[in-house]
Amino acid sequence: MIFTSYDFLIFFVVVFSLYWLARRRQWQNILLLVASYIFYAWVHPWYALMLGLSTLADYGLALGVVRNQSRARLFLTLSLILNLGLLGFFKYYNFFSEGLVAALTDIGIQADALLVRILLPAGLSFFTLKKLGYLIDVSRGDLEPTRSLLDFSLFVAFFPQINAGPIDRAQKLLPQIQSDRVWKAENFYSAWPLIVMGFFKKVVIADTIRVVVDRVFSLKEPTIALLLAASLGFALQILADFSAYTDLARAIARLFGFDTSENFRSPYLALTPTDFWNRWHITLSTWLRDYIFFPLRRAFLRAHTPRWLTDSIPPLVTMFVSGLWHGAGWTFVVWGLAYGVLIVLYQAIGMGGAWKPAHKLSGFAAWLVMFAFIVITFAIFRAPTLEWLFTVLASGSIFGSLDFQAVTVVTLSMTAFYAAPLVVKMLMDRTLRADSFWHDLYYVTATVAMLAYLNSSSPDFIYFQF
Amino acid sequence: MPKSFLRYSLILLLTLALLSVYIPNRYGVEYPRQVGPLFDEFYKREGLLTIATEKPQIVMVGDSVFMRGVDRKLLAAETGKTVHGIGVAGSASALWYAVIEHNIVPSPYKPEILILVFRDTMLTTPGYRVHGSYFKQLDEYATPNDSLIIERAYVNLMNPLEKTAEGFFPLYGSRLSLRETLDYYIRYSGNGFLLGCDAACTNVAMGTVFGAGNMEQNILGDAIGTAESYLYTPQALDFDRQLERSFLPEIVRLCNENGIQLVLVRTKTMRYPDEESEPLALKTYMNKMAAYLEANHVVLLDYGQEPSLKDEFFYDPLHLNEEGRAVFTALIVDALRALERK
Repeated sequence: MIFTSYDFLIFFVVVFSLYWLARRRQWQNILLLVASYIFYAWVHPWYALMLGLSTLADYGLALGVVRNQSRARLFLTLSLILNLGLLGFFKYYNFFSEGLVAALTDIGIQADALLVRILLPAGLSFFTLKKLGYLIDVSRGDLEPTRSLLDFSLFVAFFPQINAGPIDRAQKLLPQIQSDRVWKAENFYSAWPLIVMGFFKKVVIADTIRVVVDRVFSLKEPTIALLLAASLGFALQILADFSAYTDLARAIARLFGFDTSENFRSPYLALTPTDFWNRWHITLSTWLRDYIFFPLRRAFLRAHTPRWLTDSIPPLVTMFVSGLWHGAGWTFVVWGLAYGVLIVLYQAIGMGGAWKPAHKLSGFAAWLVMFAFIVITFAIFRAPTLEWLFTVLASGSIFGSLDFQAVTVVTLSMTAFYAAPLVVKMLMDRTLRADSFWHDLYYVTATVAMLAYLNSSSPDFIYFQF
Repeated sequence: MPKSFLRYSLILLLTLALLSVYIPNRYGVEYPRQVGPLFDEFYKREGLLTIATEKPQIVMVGDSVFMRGVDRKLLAAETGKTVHGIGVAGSASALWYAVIEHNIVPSPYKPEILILVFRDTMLTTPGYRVHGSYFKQLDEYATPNDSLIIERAYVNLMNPLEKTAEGFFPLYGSRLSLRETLDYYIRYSGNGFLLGCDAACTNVAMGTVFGAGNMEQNILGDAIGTAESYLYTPQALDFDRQLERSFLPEIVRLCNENGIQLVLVRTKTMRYPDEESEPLALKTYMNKMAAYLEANHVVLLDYGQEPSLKDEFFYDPLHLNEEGRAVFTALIVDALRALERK
């Protein structure tokens, strides 16, 4: 079910009404859990079965970790095998099977028929990280596991977050699940700007710009200028699309009395790659930092490995995992690794995590370079294949014929036009108070634009595929 | 209520009220208005004129699959009949119905045979290819009086909220016109200013750059597959549910009442190229369709899993190449000969 669909509107109105009529926390949680499973099972009911079974297993394993300390490591390993196994099977089966098919074909074995394609259940990457984080925290002693299966199941399946995050930690969400919630008008007043911005970014910006971006990335050989223009368009599309989803998810959660995490903080203003990952998909990057980067770095430090290895391997591995998490394809792997390399290089020249520009000019130069890197790496991310990208860069002309130049200008014009509202909003957020008249005027304009752009159906959010 | 939200609500109400006065005047539409699209009075009559003057024995209608997959000259030569084709790339059942209604049936001369080339559930999915640029295409064949098209291709597929908004809310009801105006400025201003390339020049450029020959075949195939998935939803595969909501009964009625033998030709696609790959729901759908057509004296030529249309004869998941075109045309010729012998 898509947040911007009519089906969801009906679903939400029913669940919202019953939820606040229920009043008692226990009933509210049961209702939210049932609603979450209906939401998740809307397209493929058996996915909900898989979600339920894996939730049940992790619930038991987490309790096992604290009840039987001597076997805690075994329970954690089992959970890792279960979660990564499911993720690997559904998400990376095709990726590896295609390689296997190619290898078998090379030695004369036709294996295509044996390896059927498997559809990725929506949100699997998101709730897998939620459950893994929970188990790791419990095994480290950082978190007391909940005894309530209902609470744990709701933490995993909470419908505003299940398809595309934010990947909230148990420490943030579970206490809210376990607390009484009463309706406050404040819930609505804090949700409506998110609803307006969510719909505006999805319906007006992302869905419009994606048409031209998709077309350019479907060409056999676009010119380099057109590729860059479309990459710029894609940078706008992915930010608008994903942050729209997060805004709507956060707004819906607020309407049910939950406070969920922010996922984006003006990522395209980043000055360094580390800064970018502190602003982009924040709940994922903090997850990767806490459960992959820090443990790896600590392990390297404990092992007294050479400094250059301690500085380079953890970011490279973390960003490799990040790339693989985003998609099962070499483009995603290379995209992730490119960020790993950038982080290492920036650290090597003294522009690591805590770097601050000495003056405005160096800040501007750092921003310009970083923004160029963001756009270029998005070209890798969005390219259909690496071969395609190499072909375009190696043999494509820079500007091409007048026809290609005209299409490049159209792509840039559209990107500039639809990026302008986000730039204006960012400037307003930095210079004006949240309750200023100009903010209200902005939201009115966004609402009117959204109504004028609203169609009967909206394409899926991009992040559903990750 | 916080001051900020109150201010937002008041400004929004005021803006919507002003737009509700401005938009109807700007686009000349009275509200409340009829729900559904507003077709203009113009419609193409080339087909009607050709049928009336050239008196073809066979008229063929379809989309690009028909245009690229059937050699009409060869068909005419082999069957000894005169053939006229009305092919519109990107068309579907709503447009085909409009063509039959306005270009074939009104002709004083009626062709002996009308061949409609379709694939799988196209004839009973009235909402397929009717929005966006497809709407403009359909508008060239439909008129404001085409209430059946408006109802079955649009209104029946709207939810109650959309119907209310479209009927009573000018901002929503005129959204396509508003977007078109805005898109015009975004799309064409930059080129006019930077390259001296006006709207017509930009359209030619877009058509050239994004022409089928420039598209990556695999990606194009995937895009086609995604778009076509509309034809394979559980609802689309429910023949009983879809029949009365579609144009098929009307197409059959128009042909039967006007003494035209309707022949429906189902083409093969790479989506389900053989019996093993065809889902049970589609098999059931096709069986029900065959029974319905037989009961209504319509001939169905089902090449959905035709083995002689080999994989290598396909240019992409839908369209045949030159070799495929020859084989497919020969299949239709044989079937028409057999039909004549009957």
